[in-house]
Amino acid sequence: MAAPVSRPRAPAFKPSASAAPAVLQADEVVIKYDDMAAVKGVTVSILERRITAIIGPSGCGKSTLLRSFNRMNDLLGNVTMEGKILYRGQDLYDRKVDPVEVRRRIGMVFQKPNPFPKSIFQNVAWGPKINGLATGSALEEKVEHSLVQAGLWEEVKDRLQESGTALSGGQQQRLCIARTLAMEPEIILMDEPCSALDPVSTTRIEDLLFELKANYTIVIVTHNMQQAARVSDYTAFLESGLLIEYGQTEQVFTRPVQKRTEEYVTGRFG
Amino acid sequence: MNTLGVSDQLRTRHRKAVLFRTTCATTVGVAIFILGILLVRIVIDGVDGLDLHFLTNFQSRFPEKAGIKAGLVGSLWILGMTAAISIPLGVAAAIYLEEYAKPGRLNRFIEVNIANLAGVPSIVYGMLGLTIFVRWFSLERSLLAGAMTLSLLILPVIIIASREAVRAVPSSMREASFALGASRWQTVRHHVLPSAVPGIVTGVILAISRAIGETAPLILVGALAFVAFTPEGPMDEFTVLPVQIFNWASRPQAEFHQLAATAIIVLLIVLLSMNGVATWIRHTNQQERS
Amino acid sequence: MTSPDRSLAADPGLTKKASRSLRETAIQGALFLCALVSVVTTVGVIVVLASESWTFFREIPVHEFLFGTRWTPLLEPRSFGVLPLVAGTLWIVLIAAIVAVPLGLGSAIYMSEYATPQARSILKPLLEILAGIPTVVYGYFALTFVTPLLKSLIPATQIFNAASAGIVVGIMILPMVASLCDDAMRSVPNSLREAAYALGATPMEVSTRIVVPAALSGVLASFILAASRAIGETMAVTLAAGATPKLTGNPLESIQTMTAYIVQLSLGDAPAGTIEYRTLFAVGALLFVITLGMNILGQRILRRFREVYS
Repeated sequence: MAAPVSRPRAPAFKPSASAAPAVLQADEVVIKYDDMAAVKGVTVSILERRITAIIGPSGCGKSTLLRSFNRMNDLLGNVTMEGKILYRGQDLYDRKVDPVEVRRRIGMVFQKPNPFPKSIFQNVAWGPKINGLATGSALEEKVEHSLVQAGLWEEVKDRLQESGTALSGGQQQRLCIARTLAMEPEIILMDEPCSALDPVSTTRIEDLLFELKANYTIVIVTHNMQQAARVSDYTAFLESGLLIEYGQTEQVFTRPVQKRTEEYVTGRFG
Repeated sequence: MNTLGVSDQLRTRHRKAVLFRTTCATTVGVAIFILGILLVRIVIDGVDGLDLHFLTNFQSRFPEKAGIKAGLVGSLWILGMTAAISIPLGVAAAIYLEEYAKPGRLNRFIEVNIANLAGVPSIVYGMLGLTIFVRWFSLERSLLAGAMTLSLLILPVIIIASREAVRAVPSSMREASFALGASRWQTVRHHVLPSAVPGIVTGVILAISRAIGETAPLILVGALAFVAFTPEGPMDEFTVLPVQIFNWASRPQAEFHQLAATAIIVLLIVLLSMNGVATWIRHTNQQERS
Repeated sequence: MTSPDRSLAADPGLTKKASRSLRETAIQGALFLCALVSVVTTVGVIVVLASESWTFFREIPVHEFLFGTRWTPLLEPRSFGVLPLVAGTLWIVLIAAIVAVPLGLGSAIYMSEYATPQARSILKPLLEILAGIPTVVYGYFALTFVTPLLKSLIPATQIFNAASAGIVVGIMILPMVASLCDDAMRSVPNSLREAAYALGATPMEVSTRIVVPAALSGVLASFILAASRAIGETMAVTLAAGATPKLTGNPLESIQTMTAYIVQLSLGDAPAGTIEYRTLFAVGALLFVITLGMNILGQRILRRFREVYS
C-alpha cells in the first residue's frame, strides 16, 4: 500500500486576474504506470497564447504530464489517471470525449523528429487531408502557409516532392512543427523539441516559438534551463512528480520562492 | 621454464580445438555437399526430358508422351486461390493482434493457438479439409476445397511473418500520426501498413512457396492422380505438380522416374525464383532502412 | 493569420463523431474475426478428429488400438493394433535424429562461434534451401539415390526401407535444428564467452563447456521440435519407406509410418462411414496428439530458455 503523497504547502499558483485566461487547467492530476506514480498530484494552469515551460530533473514526470494534455498516455496500456484536466472548462477525460478530437486541437511535437516517410508536401498535408479540413488548392495553400509559419518554406519550396526524411535534423523538426501547425491546433505541446538538435537549429526553433506565441498556446518540456529562461513566459518546476513552483519565468529564475527551485535553477542538482 | 610459451597441455588443448573446429566445419560442409548432390542428381536425371512438349502435354500411360500441363495449370490455379483467401485473412489477423489487441487472456490464447497450428503436420490439415470442406460443405474434390485447405495450412505462417513486419514499424511513426488527430485505422492504413508491406510481401511469398510443394493435404482432399484436362473454374477437379511427381515416382518403371525428375526440375525452378524474389525484396528493404 | 476564434464560452465539440466511431468499431470487429479464424481452425481440427475417432473407438477398444501389434485394417483377418505404425514412425525419427543432430548442432556451432559474418550470410541461406525443398523431392531422392547407395553398401537392404527415408527426413529437418540451435547459442550473452576466453580457454572449450551448456534447454527444445516435424513428415516416407506395417528391429526393411498409412488409405476406395475409413482419423488423432504434445513441450522449454536470457 503506497504511503500517502505529501505535498509542500506552496503559495497559490493562480495567475493574476489581468493575465491571459487559462485554456488548459490541470487539477490534482495523478498519473500512474501500473502502480508506480509518475505524477503525484499536480495543479497547474496553462494560459492562452503564452509559452509555459515545464522543467525539472529527468524522471520527474514532466513528459508524462505533458502527454496527458493530449491524451497520448491513452496509447500505453498500463496508465491510470486521477484528477481532472480541463480544456476550456471541459473535462478532457470525460467518457464522451473522443481522444481523436482532442488531438486535433492540441498538437504535439516530439523529442526526436519523426517525419513520415513521405514527401514534404504529403507530410504537412496528411493531417488536414484525413481530417477533411481542406482539399485541392486550399490544401496547397495550407501547406505553404504552415511551412512559412514554421520557417521552412524558403528552404523547401522548390522540392516539396522530396522525402521528408532526407532533410537535416533541424529541418525535420521544423517540418514536424509545420505538420502540427497545418492542423490549426489551439495548443502546441512540445516534448524537449531541441534536445536532439544542434545549437544552430535549436536557436532557429527558439526564435520560431516567439513568432508562434502570437497565435498559439505553447507548452514546452525542457531539461535545458537556459532555454526555459530564454523562451517561456511562465515556468513550472516539477520534481519527483510534484509541482514545486509555478510562476512567471522571470520570477522563478531570479527570485524563486521555494528553496528546491533555487537549488535546481542554480545548478546545484539535476 | 618459459612462462609465456606453449606448454604441452596447452598444445593438446589447441590440437583438440583445431580438431573440433574442423569437425564443425565438416558438418556444414557435409550438409551443403548433400544439397549439391541432390540438386545435381535431379538435374542429371531429369534435364533430358525438359522440353516444350513436357510442359504442354497431359498425363499419359506412355512416358514419352506424358507432360505436366495439368499439374502446372492446376498448381497455378490453386496458388492463386490460396493467395486470394489467405493473404487478406492473415494480414488482417496480424494487424488486429499487433495494433488493436489489448494484452489479455483471449489474445494470449489466440497467439498460442497460432504458434501451435504452425507445428501441426500438414496431413492433419488434409483431414480437416476432407471432412469439413469436401464433405460437410459438399465442395467435393474441387479446387476450392483444396485452396481453402491450403489457406488454413499457411495462415499461421502468414500471420507470424506479417506480425513481425508490423512490429518492426517504429512507434514514433504511430505517435506522430496519433498526435495529428488520426484514428487507429487511419494510422494503420496510411502509415503502418505501407511501411510493413515489404516485410509482409516477403513472408507471403515464402508461405505461398511452401504451399506449392504441399502434396499430402491435397491428396486427402481429392487431387487426382491421372488428370487429362485443365480446370476451368473453382469447382473443377484438379491435380497439382507435386501430386503428379508423387504419382510418377511411385511407379516402378525407370521411365516414370525420369518424368518425375523432370517435373521436379520445373517445381524447383518455380520455388527458387519465388525465394529469390522474396530475398531480393528483403535485401532492398533492409538497404533502404539503413 | 490569427488562430480560429475559439472563445472560452464556445463548446469545444470534443465528443465522438458517431459515424467515425461506428466505422472504427466495424473495422476492429472485422479484424478480430479474421484473428479468430485460427481459433476456429483448431476447434475444427479437434472436432473432426475427435468425432470420427469417437465412432471408431466405439467399435475398437482403445487398448486394442494402442497396444495391439498387428495392423491389418483392410485385409482379413482384421486387426487394429497401431503399434507397427508407431514403430515405423519411430524408426524414421530415430534415423533422422542420427543424421540431423550431429550435422545440425555442428553446423550451428560453426555458424555461431566460428564463421565470419560473410560466411554466415552465405551458409544460413544455403541451409534454408534444404528446408525449402518439397518433401516429394526428398522422397524421390531417397528412392532413386539413397536406397541404391545403401544397397551397394549393404546388399540386404530392401527396395523400400526405413533407413533411406529416415536419412532424407534427417536432411530435411537439419536446417531446423541448425537454425534453432544457432538462435539458442546466440542468445547466450557474450560476456560469458569473454569471461571464459579471459581465463585462457580455447574456442572449443568455450563452445562445449560454456556456450552449449548455457544454451542447453534451447538446444533440447530444437531437438524436440525437429522430431515432431519428422513425425509429421509424409511424402518422403510414403515413397521410400514402404507400405508394410510391421514391428521390426531392422531399419533396412520395409515398414509403414502413420502418415504413410493415411496417404495409402486416401488413395484407396474405402467408402466414407466404414470402419476402414475411420482408421484414417484414429491414426490421424494419434498423430495429432503426439505432435501437439511434443510441440507444446518444445515451445515451453524454449520460452523458459528465452526468459532466462532476456
